[in-house]
Amino acid sequence: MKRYYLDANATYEILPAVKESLVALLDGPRSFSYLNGSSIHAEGQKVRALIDAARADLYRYVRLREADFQIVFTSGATEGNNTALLVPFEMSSAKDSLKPEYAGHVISTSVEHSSVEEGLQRLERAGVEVTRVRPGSDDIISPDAVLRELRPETKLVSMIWANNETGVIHPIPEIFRAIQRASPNCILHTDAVQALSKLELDLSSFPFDFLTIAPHKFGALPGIGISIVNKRLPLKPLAVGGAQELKWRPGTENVVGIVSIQAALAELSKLITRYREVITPLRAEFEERVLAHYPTIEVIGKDAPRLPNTVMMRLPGILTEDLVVALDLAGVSCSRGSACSSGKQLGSHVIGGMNYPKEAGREVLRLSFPANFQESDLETVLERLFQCFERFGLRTKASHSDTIPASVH
Amino acid sequence: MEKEDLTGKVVVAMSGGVDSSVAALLLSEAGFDCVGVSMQVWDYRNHGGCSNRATCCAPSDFADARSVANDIGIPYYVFDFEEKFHDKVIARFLDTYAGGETPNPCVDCNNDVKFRELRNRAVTLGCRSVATGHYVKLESRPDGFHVFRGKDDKKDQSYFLYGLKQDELSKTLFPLGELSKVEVREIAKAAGIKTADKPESQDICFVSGTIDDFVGERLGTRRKPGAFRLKDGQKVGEHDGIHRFTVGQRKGLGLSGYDAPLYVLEIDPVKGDVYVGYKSELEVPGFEVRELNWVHPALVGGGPAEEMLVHVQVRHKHRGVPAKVFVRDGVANVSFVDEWTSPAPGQAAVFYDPENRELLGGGRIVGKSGRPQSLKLFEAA
Repeated sequence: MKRYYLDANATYEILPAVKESLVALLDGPRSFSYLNGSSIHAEGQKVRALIDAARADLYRYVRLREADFQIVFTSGATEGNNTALLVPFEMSSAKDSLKPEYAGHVISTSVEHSSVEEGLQRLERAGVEVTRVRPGSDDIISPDAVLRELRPETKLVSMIWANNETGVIHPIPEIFRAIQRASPNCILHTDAVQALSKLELDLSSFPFDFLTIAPHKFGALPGIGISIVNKRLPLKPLAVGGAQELKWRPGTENVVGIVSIQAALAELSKLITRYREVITPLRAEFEERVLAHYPTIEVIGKDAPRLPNTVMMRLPGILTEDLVVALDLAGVSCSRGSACSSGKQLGSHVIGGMNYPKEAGREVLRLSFPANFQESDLETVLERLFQCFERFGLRTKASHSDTIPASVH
Repeated sequence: MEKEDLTGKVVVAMSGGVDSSVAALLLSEAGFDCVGVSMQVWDYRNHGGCSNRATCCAPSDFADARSVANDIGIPYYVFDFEEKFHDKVIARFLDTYAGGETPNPCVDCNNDVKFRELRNRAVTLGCRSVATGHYVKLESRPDGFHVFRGKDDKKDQSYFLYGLKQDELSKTLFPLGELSKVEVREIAKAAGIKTADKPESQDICFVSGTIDDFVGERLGTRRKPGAFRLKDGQKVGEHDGIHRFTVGQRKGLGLSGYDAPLYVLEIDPVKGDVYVGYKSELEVPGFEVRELNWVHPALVGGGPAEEMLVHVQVRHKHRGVPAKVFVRDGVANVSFVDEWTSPAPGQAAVFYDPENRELLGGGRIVGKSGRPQSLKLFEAA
């Protein structure tokens, strides 16, 4: 049975170009056998050159100057998000205590990824006050709503750019510009994991201090992330022990991961173009067909600016825990929300953080089309999806009109 | 849309133990399209239990099940059944102890969680049947489905399955019914299944310490301390909660100085009195059973209206004694034939044919005439 992968927001397919670059790194005439880029000797220098070249490509891609920003390789966006939250308070992720001089206020949102949300909870346990701004009736976080919460002691604003579950894009540049005008020393962090992998962004057009990226969302290996850190801040890293990454992230660099980023980055513009030109209309058709067939289904954030590939559906009355499994068995890979919460089925806290009843968090299904999804596969996906919906007793338009004849109206 | 062919699609309940692993292996080899499922019914991380001593639902059990499923080459999922399990099994477990009776959580779990809930899931997953690693034989005959004790007498688990209905049996598979535990382990070893030598799970799966402690901690204000009394009402000691006692229990009473061991005869949940006496005082001519279900096709519905010779089993480890049973007004009246045993209210009484092989049906033991248990003995005396 042919399988259809509709979970690009969890991870993207490792790109063929990435695989080739990794094979070349580890096998063949120009392969590497020593991968410590901090060594002085010839082997180390060759590795350093690889890391520097990848970093230079990244600076070019994001169009930021090395004089202003440090691009730091991390273990992933979770580390990046944790660091952005805890470092301003001189907290380590291992302890809950906080020095009194670091107390303060944080503004975030009710729709963060758990790597931010749980970091916020840790700050709260340590005595930091956290305000979570909720999206308005238009499902987005408005700059005014954030400004209203700003206080003189607000130390950090941390906001997701595009939500991983719903795909809703929040106006981060506008929000950060407004915050900086009102409170220039406030630290600004955005989780740009989904946004950067699906949208063309201009990172030089607005102020920020931390920006988190997960390259496996656009075809690199998992286990490596990127943090972009503004050099204006005299901040200390969480870990100590080496001078790598300008001391921002001590530890021998993950060169295999870095090489995979460089290869994936070379393809990213093509991916984003395809999302915009092919996947956007394809998703529109998909949603139209689903909603026409199943009138009780609701697309979360349908009228808000959204990532081109993400469809978060609410199926009222259906606990979608099983639906994801049924679809998997039918050869359609998707999820209920964040892949990170798929072990224990608590439902989506993101939906709870929006203007939906609590139970809605357990009634959602997320499809996230990859850029390379083939238009010709849409029919089969819809067929399999509808077959599963039927088994779960979802009411179709047909069954609807069976019970309520049109002539009655 | 075409109708799906579900004939060969089976959900296999996998606990991570050797029995369910082999069940999945055998079905898969027989050509069934298997889906491995573990039911998370109890999260030890949330309940302060010691996951080393946990007998299932520990993260390592799911890892075992996942690894076995991967080796067999079948998909595998963990389903969260915690809410259902709490409502249908744990709450009832505690309520029964609080009421001075002895619960049987494995029966409730099989009836209300494993077969009912899991079957609902199976349907939505596009599977027709549910399979488990129970040591039970299931036969399809022209008149319907018949359930027999498993070939391995020591492992037979039919006692827990008396609640199954005919239509459920038609969608159930027990691949281990014709096997002994030794054979199951050999099959596992030959197939290189990693759980081949995994120790047996013991006792009640969600209790990692003692049942007394588990229940005592959770009863809170419902804990009922009281007195030990002889049949005539004379107080002979005190205890810290009726939940620690089961009718017929001898161990753990802490009463000495009598010329023969004392047994629990009766429990009065209202006053908290536990009546004790000699073994001979436990003897009853019979007992009543309610909440009946009849499995045998000829008995489905009402059960035997006329007196019928059966074997009755009143505990998991009990082998059954001959008895006569008839049903009136939804209550089975059981009378012992030549041996007696002490039925503990709350436990399951399960009926087998006179050869003690075929499962006929069962229900819950209640005090005579359904009145509070403490009145019964004195009326009979």
